[in-house]
Amino acid sequence: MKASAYKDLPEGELIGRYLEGDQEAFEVLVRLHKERVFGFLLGMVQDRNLANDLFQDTWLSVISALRKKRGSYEHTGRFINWVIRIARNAALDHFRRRSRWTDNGADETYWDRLPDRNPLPDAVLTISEDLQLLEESIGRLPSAQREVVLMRQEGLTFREIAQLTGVSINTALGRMRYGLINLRKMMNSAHQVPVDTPVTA
Amino acid sequence: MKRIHMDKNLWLLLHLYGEEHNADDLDELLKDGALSEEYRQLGQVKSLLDQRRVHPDPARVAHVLRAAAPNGLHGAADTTRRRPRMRLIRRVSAWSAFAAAAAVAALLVWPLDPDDAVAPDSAPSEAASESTEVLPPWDDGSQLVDVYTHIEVLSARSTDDAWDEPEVLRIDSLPPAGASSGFTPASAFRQR
Repeated sequence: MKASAYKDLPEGELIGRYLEGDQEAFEVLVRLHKERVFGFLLGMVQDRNLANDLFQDTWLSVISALRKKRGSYEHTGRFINWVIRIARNAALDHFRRRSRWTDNGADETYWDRLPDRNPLPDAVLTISEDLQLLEESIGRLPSAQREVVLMRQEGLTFREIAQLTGVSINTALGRMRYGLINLRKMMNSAHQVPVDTPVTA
Repeated sequence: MKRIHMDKNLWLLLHLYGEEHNADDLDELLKDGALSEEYRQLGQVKSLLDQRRVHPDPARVAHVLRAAAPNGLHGAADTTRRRPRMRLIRRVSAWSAFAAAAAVAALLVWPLDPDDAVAPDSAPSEAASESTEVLPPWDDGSQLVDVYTHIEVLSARSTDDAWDEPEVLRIDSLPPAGASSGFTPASAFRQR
């Protein structure tokens, strides 16, 4: 089957074909969503190597779950939502594991426990200064706001985000609003005055 | 979506992200100066976020696709993944600790007096083979403790008693059989 023919197939059909042994169908799914999944993970962990590790883990979990047919994916839902859910779990597992290694002293604040704020060590990525600043600012958002911003940016609707994170749609929208306001504040103040204390949802 | 019980600022976000399409409704909201300014400012951030493009390492994608092949999860060797840093540090630390322990052991076992050294040329190789024989698995904490304990025992045996605090009585300090105790109570001196 030609690659172009796969483009018109619904995701449920692609998954069905993959489970029948058509590997190319799965390749189409990966190529469709790889940037979204990676973009979400990179924004969450703020470390390119780690995001790549988690990206790989996420897709291996997807393959494993599809093969065992025990995955929570249902044809009624969007495939990307399910994959982002798995990616989110991978990121949360990482934070839990890291918290065991980290000496959480009494003086340490929430902001200290956020991932490394250093610029991404990737010379290949020629992003503008604003985009680099944006990336750093995303990493400084409170985690609840960060994940909503990233999920929405990767194409999930607010209703889907609310469902995935187990909150009301008003809460999801509220976190998004504060997330955007905080990003704007941090970016505006980056070259002027010290960063404002972010608004918490 | 119904706007009942929803804040105008939140409703505005639905318009910003294209999840609400009623143009008249948006016009109505933007008549409010504060809301209009928020819409403009958040729109700027959104447009910057929309430019954010990141790509995964192609080697990782290739690995995933190999894994997706039949029996791929078992067959695809993972050559892309980084080695966990903490594990590496732990292993390096274990090696360092063992090397230090082995060095101390070698110093203690090695005769300090040159006359005691029977075969200087062969001694290092013997010591080496001995240490090879007792080499514990390099990351086994309990065996490392055993080695340390062994070093402590050897150290105690090879060191003369300190002049002022013999921990164990020497055999020649004990009275001969049939004789009275080698210890004389202090009161006896006073009686003399």
